[in-house]
Amino acid sequence: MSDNILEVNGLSMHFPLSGGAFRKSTSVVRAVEDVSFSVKRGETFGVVGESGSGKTTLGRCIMRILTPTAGTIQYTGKAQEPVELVTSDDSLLRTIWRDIRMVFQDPQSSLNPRLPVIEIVGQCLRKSEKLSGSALADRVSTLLTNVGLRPEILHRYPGAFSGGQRQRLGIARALATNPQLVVADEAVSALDVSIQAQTLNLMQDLQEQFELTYIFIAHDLAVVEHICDRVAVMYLGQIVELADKDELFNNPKHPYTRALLNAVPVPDPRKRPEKRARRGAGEIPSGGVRPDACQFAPRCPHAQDICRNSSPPEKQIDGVAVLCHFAGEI
Amino acid sequence: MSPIHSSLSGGMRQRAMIAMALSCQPRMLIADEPTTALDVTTQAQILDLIADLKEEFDMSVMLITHDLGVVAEVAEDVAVMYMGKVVERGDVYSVFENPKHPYTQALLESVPRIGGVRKKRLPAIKGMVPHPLARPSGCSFRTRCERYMPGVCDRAEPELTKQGESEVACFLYSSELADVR
Ligand SMILES: Nc1ncnc2c1ncn2[C@@H]1O[C@H](COP(=O)(O)OP(=O)(O)OP(=O)(O)O)[C@@H](O)[C@H]1O
Ligand SMILES: [Mg+2]
Repeated sequence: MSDNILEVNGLSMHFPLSGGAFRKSTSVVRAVEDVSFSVKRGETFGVVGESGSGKTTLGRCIMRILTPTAGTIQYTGKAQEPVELVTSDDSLLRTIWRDIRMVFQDPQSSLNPRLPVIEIVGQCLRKSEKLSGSALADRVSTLLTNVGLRPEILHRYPGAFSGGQRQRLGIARALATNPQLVVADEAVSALDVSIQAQTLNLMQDLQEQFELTYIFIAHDLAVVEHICDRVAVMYLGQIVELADKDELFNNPKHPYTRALLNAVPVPDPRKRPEKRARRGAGEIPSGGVRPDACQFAPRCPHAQDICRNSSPPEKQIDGVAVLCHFAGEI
Repeated sequence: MSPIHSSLSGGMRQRAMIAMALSCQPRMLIADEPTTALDVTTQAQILDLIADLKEEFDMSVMLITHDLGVVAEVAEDVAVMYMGKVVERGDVYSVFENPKHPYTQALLESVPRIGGVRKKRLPAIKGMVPHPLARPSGCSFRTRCERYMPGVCDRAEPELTKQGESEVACFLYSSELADVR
């Protein structure tokens, strides 16, 4: 059995820019561009990057809510043969959707306010396991208890719940089918610190209990450092650095990773002057970059002509994959 | 209010808001979660901008946020609120390095920090903020407090009193209690 639960190769997702009704649009949004990585069974794989870097799109491709423009995604469940998700048909995908589940960004809009909790969490079980009546109620009650919610809320509607409770409902729904892989998209981002800590602890407990693998999408680097084993840093659709957590945070190699780390506010007022000095006053440029150049070049303090004229190769440095012409030199 | 053009990025919109707020040369700027929806990189720029403007115009800034990192990044003085009351107040160094109220202490411990001590689990504050109409008697925080003292904390509301460099509203520090002991 492969150690990798997921192997993604050359994955791209391009959206057509909406053009006129009769003209075929030629320009595209390269939301995900030639991304390759693998996820080990049982690990927490982090995906970080700024808004619009393609994190959610990547998650939706893995879930096969979207059909990628190019590339392959191979999923290998426990004691199962590898399955190629990109070319799978709907009937095969329906069985895969029990194994791979997503906690959606923005629980506000992903939980139907007209459905009671038992349906939100248990709907998938009606179909996949033909559960109903008290069997369904029992199962959903157990799931609610697992995520620290009281079973009494079974027949209540999500409108009355707090952000933290809704986030837990989203997690309970994802766990309903005993999945092996959970794609958690900004699962704790909307929560205040104490509820966030509770939810992170919960996710770790559930991971141990059910031997889950997480793809943990987030923009909060401190949270990612806390919970992840390996981290992919995305910039405009590409993975610009992929490293073990310790290596990434102690010895970031891509200038973008460094910029992100320098920008994180640290709850320590004595670090303030040092951090402000390191940041400088970089403007975020607007306007497109040629696809065959380094996408980060317009913001990069080290950019040379070569960066503006050719795509950087993927380099391997100390076991870290870095997409930068000058990786290892700067 | 006039719509700020929607094609602006979040950071540019936030800057436009700040420019509007500053147009009449205020003595004080109240910024309510000014960076919460922004990326860390954009957030850093906005916070640096606020800090620069504060110097330049000799203006006071009141920054409302739930992000402790943001507070440590820009504030000189801090007030920590729980259920509508200030439970601790002091300069940013005292509050962050020597927090006195159990709520402040718990908040600071529950944030993961880059490069901080690695813990398997985050120390989380138990329970949730009570409904405003179900405010506990005495100290509002007592239902979630690790240092709750029955017979003391549920009897009366603690007042904000001076303790060293900062002020704190907690019976752990009140002198009557010290007498009882
Ligand atoms: N259905 C779609 N049609 C067209 N463009 C899209 C679509 N979905 C996403 N995009 C674009 O793809 C890019 C990546 O978006 P995505 O939502 O994946 O980013 P993200 O990293 O999840 O951002 P955030 O941190 O804000 O959630 C953006 O430029 C977005 O506008
Ligand atoms: Mg997203």
